[in-house]
Amino acid sequence: MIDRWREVYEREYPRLLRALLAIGRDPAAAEDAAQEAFVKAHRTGLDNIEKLPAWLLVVGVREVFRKGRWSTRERELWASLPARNDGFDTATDRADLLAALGELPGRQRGIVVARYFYGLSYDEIAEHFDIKSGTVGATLHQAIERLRQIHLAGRLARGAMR
Amino acid sequence: MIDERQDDEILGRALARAIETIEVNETAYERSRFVSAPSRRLFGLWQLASGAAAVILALAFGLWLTRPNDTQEPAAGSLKPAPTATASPQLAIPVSSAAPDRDNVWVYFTRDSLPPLGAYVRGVFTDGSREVRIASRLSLLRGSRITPVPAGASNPLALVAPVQNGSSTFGVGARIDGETASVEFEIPTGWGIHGATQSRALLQQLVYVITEEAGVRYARITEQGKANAVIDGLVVDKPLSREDVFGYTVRAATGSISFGGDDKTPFVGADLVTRDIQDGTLVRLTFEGRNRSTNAKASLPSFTISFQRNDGSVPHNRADGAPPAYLLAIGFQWNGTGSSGGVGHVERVDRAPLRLIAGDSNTSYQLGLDDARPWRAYMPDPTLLIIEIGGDPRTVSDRIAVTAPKPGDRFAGDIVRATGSARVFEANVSWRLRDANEKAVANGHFNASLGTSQLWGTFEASIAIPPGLHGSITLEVYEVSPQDGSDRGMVKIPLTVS
Repeated sequence: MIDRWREVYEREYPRLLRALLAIGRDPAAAEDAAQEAFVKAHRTGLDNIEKLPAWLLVVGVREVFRKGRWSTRERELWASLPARNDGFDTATDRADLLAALGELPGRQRGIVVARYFYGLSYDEIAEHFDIKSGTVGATLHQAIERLRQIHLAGRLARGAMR
Repeated sequence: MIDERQDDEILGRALARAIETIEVNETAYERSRFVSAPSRRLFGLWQLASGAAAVILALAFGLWLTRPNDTQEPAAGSLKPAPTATASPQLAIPVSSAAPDRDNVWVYFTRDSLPPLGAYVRGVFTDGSREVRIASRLSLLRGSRITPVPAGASNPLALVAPVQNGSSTFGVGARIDGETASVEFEIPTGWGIHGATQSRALLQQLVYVITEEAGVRYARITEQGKANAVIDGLVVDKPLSREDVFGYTVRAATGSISFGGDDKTPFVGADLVTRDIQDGTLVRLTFEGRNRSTNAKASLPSFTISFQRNDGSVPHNRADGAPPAYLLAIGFQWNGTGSSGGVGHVERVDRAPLRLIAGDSNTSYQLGLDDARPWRAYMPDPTLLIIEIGGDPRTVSDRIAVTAPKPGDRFAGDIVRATGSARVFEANVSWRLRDANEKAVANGHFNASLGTSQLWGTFEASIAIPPGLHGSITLEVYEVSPQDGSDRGMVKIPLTVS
């Protein structure tokens, strides 16, 4: 039993922590929420949870927003992103994107992360985030469009300062 | 539309890659909150593994935990009205739910020469049985790297069962029989404790944590397969109460005292005006008389103070459900006509040893306390009643309590100001100074404001330090026995003169 939990934890925890950090922007709150999600999962029992990754994400997101602790220092936070040598994604780009994500309304942040980072289907998002399945696509598009605008504005502003 | 979707997808994926590269400090599985929290499956026996090559050993250390009989459950959650010392309304008290939640496990941390410090730590009780709750508090502290230890305190339990060859085993099982909880530790790599100070600290922590469970007054601590426990030479072979380990030379007796006040002025109640709480050590509450008709400060009416074990009649107001062990009730006489009014309530304080304050905020106050540490009451003037509970054990005896100087204080001048309270024959307080070689170098006496009355007297005196006395000295404050001239109620306060 314990080994099963260990396996689940080691597989899901890092991903959950990153998602919650991206959504909530506060490392301590993300850690807290991720731990809390696992405590709740543990209490519920593995056998009673159908889609554990999505379940953990939804519970974690709720925890993050319940605390309402918002960091205003996300720029510094994202500035620590390591560089990756793919010649395309620069660390600055990624930091900009993450900062832009933080500008979205809380609910949209959760859905965007569920879709693109967790790879959940529209139906799964509808089910777990308790929204009508017909509106998932529109909400996502709206969120991404806004993300694009904020991201672009951020880049332009930085470009202008150079 | 298709292009739009594709664009969204591209940005979405870029975002996912960005999230993927966020650097996080991952909490290892062994230190995750739910592993260190108790689990129903383990029936009160937990093992925590630590070290690089951590091995969680099989949980095969006997299942000797008995399930409590429901009828023996203490009335922890029952809603009875609080006893009222004088005419005051029955208390209609909201009691917070005992549902498991976060940050709701009350445990104790230790300090040198002082009673323990209490604090809530994060944890979840997943099983309602009392035995499991005892074991879960202990294992939570054992896996303490996730637990913040309060400033100035330490957590001796974290040292228990140290890692050897990359792994360690810690098992704990509990059984409750009447007021005694027997707790057996499985610690193949030993207690991990060194020296008398650490041993005493661990014992104090164990006893306080075990007896935190409702209805449990004594802790019997044993090592697996043995009839006793030996903590680095400290032999523990009988059940211990909090009063056996709290460090005070005396314990508060149960019973009550009464004191006459101004009962001619009607409609005078008492307000709790100040609370001075030194966490874990001292509680000082000041009650002030107030005329409810005129709202002016007034002399207090007669009152009764009683100290008793909590029979569960005062509901707790706590997240984790256990009622405080003792109650100190203060009841003021109501000399008005009709009801003394006031709305009954319970306030959760949770600053050891004061856990809650119940009452009507007018004539009836009940203080929920962790232990039977000595307390005293004094009146600086007829409008004020001060209740003082505990203090640094080195400064408190059954008849003397020195507020200043404090142990370890350093002086540069030639005068030590001594303040405190006393209940001694003819209000005559004696003092003596000893040098580093224990030689008496000065002595004298001064008067407290009252002698051997129900209430204590207060004192404020200047003690002259003889010229040429330097370094470590001890201030002794005591009563000279009227019967045989011996020193009684001695307190010894180590000081430094520079």
